[in-house]
Amino acid sequence: MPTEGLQPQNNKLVQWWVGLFQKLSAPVPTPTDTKTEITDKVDGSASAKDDAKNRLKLVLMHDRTQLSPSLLEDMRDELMEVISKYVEIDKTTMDLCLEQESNTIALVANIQVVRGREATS
Amino acid sequence: MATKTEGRVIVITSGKGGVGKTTSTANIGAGLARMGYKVVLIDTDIGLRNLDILMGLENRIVYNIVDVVEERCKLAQALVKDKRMPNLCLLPAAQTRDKSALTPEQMNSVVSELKKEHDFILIDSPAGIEQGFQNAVAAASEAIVVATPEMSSVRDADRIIGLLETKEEIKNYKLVLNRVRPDMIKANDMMDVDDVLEILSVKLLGIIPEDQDIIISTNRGEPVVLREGEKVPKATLAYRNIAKRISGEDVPFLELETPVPWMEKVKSLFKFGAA
Repeated sequence: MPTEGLQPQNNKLVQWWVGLFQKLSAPVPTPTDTKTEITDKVDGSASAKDDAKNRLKLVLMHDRTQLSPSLLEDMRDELMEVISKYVEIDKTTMDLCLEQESNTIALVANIQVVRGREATS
Repeated sequence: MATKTEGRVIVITSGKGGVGKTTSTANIGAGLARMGYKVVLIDTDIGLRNLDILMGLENRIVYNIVDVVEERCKLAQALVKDKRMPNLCLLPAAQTRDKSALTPEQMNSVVSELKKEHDFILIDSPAGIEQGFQNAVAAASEAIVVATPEMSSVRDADRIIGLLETKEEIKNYKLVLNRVRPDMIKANDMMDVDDVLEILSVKLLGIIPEDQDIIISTNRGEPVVLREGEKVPKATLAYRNIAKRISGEDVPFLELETPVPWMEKVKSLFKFGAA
């Protein structure tokens, strides 16, 4: 699963305003510091504790399965080829990731089927 | 408490260094000895021994575990008696050798001899997952995994748990969560006990708060668990509770040991709204 960008898009306007304000006021804090601080305050969910928890869960799933993100990507590409033999799928939306369900780890694929291949027999 | 049954062999391990393996070994061992059990601590961190310092026994070492397996001395000669309690002793690591100076087979034979005379054999494992760890685990049938509520420590603990599960001899393992800071948990800046237990899906043996008295105790060579009196540090109580739980007593977790109470969580929500 690719990590998401630092700030959600709906905060762009807020950041633009704050950015403008910072340009006008001195001393200017380092840009990276302010960015995280602002997102923390605006969406309110990114506590250090939750960050740690979410990042740990993800890294442990990869550790435990010994499937690195790049291996997962290789697997997705191969799967896509196989599935394409039988059904036409939307390759751009296909998603393959690891998910934790209580004590087990699952490989979850989300594949959008466009239409079935015509029968050859 | 002389028993005819063989002693229990417990390895204290963590994967990551510096999370409190040696401190926990010293304190749990001294805590069990304080209860009257006959205890021996084995330092398997060959080349980087430290358990002797924490116990304040560094000046009394004559022989070490490598001398025993290489037959330069008898096992009984290498055991360093604790200066406070006659039922507690230390088998020190060699300081001038490395981990290859010991094999799992040799550990097994040393431990099986110690089992006859002691109620508990606590093995302090070195950091890492290489030979030192393999030596430490070889003779144990129980394990204590020490971790702190930090990402790197929890990740390494997960790895260690995975390795312990492949060892048939290890019948059970439990977690000691060390350096817990209730203030940071309250501020949502640190994972709480439940978070770590959920992530590692492991049973809890005890929670040790971050406590400057542990550093003071280390400096004095006096395990914090041995402090006596009306008002002892919280870490003292926490380690005493762990010793009791190991001996089979059902001791509830201390107030400070429990995760943030739900009232605090609600309060912090309101605080956030006002900010």
